[in-house]
Amino acid sequence: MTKVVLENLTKIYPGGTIGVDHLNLTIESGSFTSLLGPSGCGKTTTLKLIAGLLDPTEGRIFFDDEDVTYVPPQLRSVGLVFQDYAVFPHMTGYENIAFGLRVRGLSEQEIKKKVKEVADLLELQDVLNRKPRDMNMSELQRVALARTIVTRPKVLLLDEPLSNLDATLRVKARMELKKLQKFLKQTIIYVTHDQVEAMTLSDKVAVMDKGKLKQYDSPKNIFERPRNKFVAGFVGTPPMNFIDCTLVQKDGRYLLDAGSFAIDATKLGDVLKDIKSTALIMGIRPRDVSVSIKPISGGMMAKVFAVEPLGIEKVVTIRIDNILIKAITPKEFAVKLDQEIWFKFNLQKLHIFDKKTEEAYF
Amino acid sequence: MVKRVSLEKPKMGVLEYLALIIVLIFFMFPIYWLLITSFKPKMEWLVSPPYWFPRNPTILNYLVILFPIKEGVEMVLGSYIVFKPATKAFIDSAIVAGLGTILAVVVGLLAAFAVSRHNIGGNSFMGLVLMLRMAPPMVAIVPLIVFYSLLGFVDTYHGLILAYATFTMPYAVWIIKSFIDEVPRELEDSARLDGLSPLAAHFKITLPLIKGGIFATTLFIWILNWSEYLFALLLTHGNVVTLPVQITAYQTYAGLLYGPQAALAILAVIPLVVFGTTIRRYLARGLTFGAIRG
Repeated sequence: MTKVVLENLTKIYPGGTIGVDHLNLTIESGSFTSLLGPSGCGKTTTLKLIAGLLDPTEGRIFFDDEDVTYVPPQLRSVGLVFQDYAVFPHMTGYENIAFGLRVRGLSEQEIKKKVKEVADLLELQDVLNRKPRDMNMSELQRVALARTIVTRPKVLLLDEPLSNLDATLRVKARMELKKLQKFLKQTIIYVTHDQVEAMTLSDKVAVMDKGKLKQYDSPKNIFERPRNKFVAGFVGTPPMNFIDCTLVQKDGRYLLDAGSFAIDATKLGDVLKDIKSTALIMGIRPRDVSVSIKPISGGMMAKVFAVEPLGIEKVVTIRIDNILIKAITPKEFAVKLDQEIWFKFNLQKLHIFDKKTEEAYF
Repeated sequence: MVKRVSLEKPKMGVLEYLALIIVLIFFMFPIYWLLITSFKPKMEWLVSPPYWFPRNPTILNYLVILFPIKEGVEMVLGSYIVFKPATKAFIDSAIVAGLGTILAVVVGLLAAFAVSRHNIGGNSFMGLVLMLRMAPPMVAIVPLIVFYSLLGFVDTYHGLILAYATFTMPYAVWIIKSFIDEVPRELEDSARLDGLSPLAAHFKITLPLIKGGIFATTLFIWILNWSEYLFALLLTHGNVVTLPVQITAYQTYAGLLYGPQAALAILAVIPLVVFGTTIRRYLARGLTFGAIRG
């Protein structure tokens, strides 16, 4: 098991595009860590830097205490499963899995044993004699995984390995990955733009945007205590509602004034005292907005703007002047467009961000 | 009613066949004319109206170019002219075009890897490589003769091999690079993480995948070198004789000897046909310019 430390890691591509921008990250030995972010956020670049396939412009990479920044990939003991699997098309499943072992000069007997072990683990016995063109996506993905884990690398890197699978297979593969992680007890770094994968599989999640680390925390904290507006908005489906507001202090009460409506936030107490700026953004997850067709105490009135049934529940978008707010309701909740409706925020779940820095106060 | 959709190739209609036959006649006619001329005796070469088949077929044209013994030559030509046997031209062409092609393909392959995988030479490199072929060879030939004279390369095998390799290498780089570009870089990256050096990854992973492309490139360049005339004519004078130069040797004071010329041309085509047929299964894939998918 290996600890991976990224120190001030920066990659600027020829032409000036910034891939990764002064990234500091410590990935604990034996942990499952996800790099989560939208396309082009630098997560795959980070993975390639760790693998040694790219040289950093600045910064260092350590495996435990060993500086591996300029160690070539073939000497790093890193396994990487690519997004498109990169299974060698001219070799059978067996030859693909055995490839790394052959390069390492193992005897044919040992190779056979190890390939069988990993084929049993990933249920690949049927594809060992087949060429990649005769395999389906799920089989290709497992062959790629098998080829990588068979050599027992110090660090296992997975670059969106489930993105080519259809929804059903993806759920199954996710479960298998989780099982595999328990079995391998290996440091795994997993790149994904799918928050469900990151949240369900990982011990820790590093959320990235434009090459920068936005938050590195447990999945629970990423969801419940986002450190900035980007993380708050990126994690969670449907995304968090953001409403521009100002903090107004009046008669010993604190009001979050959004223009069209205001929320009495006095109950939140001391946390509001530390807020210096008055231009703020309040954030509330759709699940924390309660709506009712009858007036509710402390509730405000709005109109139904859209209704999206999701099967087990509904997403109701309400509109107050130009402000749109999404709320999740039980599937039985029946409303019509433009119907008057009352809503209320769960104050305990409210997030406040600075409008300028977009950093979270709480 | 369910309509069945056939996944087999649709059958060709009469019109399609007719079109194919017309195209085939258009391309094959010169070869046919060569073939019949090579079996015609001298009096039938230029008769008007032309004979579509030899009336008195003979293999003397072939015998004359391969074994130019006095009696044979006189029988064909009606006069005696001394020729070098065409066997030397075959051997020389094989050496010069063969080695020139191998050199161009090997150097082209390495250069293509350098450009495609390591971005060596920057963005303008490929344009510069092609510039070698933008000017007609005639432009280069005079300085080349001067240069070769100084080096003592005129009328030598290595001189001609080097010239052939140099002037066909740009094609090799361009064509092979397009094949390498088609192979996902991740395959090599993956092999490197499995413990291979960059060079080993090129040769063990990408090379087998572009085999068809390499064969197609080799055939293409070999055809260029095998039929090259200008350099062979001007950079040699007797010590090295290639087939295109030998064919012109049959333009004599006794007239144009179409029969022997046709016979030699037919013999010269045979190695190309044999090579092309042997590697046919690779060609179909190679000539579609990259059909590799992981």
